[in-house]
Amino acid sequence: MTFAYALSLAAAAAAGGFLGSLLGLGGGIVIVPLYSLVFGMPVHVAVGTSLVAVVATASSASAAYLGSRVANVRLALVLAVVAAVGALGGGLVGTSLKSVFITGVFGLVLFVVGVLMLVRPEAGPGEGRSPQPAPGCGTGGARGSPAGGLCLAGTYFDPAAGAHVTYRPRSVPAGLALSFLAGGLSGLLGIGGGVVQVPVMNLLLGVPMKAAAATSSHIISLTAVAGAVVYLVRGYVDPFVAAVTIIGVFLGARGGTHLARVLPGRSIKRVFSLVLFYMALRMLARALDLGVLS
Amino acid sequence: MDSSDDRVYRRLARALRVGLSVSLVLLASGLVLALAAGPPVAEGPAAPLRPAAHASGLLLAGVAVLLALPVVQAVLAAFTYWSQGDRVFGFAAFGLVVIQCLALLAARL
Repeated sequence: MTFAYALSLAAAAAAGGFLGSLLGLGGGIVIVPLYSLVFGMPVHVAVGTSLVAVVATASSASAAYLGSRVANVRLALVLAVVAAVGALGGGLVGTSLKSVFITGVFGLVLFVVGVLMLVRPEAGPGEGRSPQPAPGCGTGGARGSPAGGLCLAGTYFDPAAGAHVTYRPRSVPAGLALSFLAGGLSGLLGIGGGVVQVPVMNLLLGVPMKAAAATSSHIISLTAVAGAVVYLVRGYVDPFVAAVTIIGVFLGARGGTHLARVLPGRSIKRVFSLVLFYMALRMLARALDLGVLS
Repeated sequence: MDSSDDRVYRRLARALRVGLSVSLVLLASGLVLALAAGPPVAEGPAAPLRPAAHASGLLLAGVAVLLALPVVQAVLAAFTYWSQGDRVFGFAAFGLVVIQCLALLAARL
């Protein structure tokens, strides 16, 4: 049964990696419920294992997004500093809380973000399309921005639109505060933080969806380790299960990354919302002890 | 001439690819050895799997390499931005390194 068990774990992890990479979630949103509900793992072990796998998923996606210049490294770096503090705090708190509380927060967060993603249009101000790339940060052509003098503007080529997309993030201070929250939820729930980072960057900062998902993956690849280390050191990560999960997630993430490059942002957004609503229902039902749904 | 961002993009992408490859080789080797060692002590879907002792080292090394990647990324970004004279982002990246290292200490409390 060992091989079959490992294979089923790897299959679940591959599904999580595929969705996580495609949507910029990090994979944990699928892995945590699957491992705790289907495989019967303690929630804290599922969260710890998920966080280690999230590092693999986000790193894999980030490598691809960095290669295609879709991720905004400067914006990611600024948001990652506060997100890492949040992830560390979330990990320390999460290892001390009961699973019912973690599950309830999980469901509520997913539902709220899902609603926001569905009812709000993709942000457009400051975004432009042109056949040629605009001067970006680090090229001497775009110094100074609304973000207090920091150059956080981004530009990337969108194959679906056949043009270069340029944008300037706005409301960066509010984005910083919400990134701290995203990091905290990451360490608390083992979900990477993309569920908050992607809509915050898209809706609040005005970053195009594709760049938001790519930048989110890069942020998660930098910050999830702060929470993962807490769970690892405190004994909530089984190296064998983690290894199976990482390999499964890695394989799934490769497929998701390739698909994300060719799909238009609107389709990604719709899939993103559906995934959020489904997982919200499952998590809330579990927290409220509704046996039929959970 | 490359911009500082071009160098950061290239260095981070390369570090991630190399690190992930090393980590995956270690993890895959550990898994093969663990599965070849036979069934676990306890059976059942919820029971923890116990790989052979010689596989544990490889598995732990693979996880360690994976978790070191974010630190390597932050160090590379700090060094690149700082060497290009972009002190703000160099300092931000360095701050990230400090927080990542702090997590290891805080977890032991």
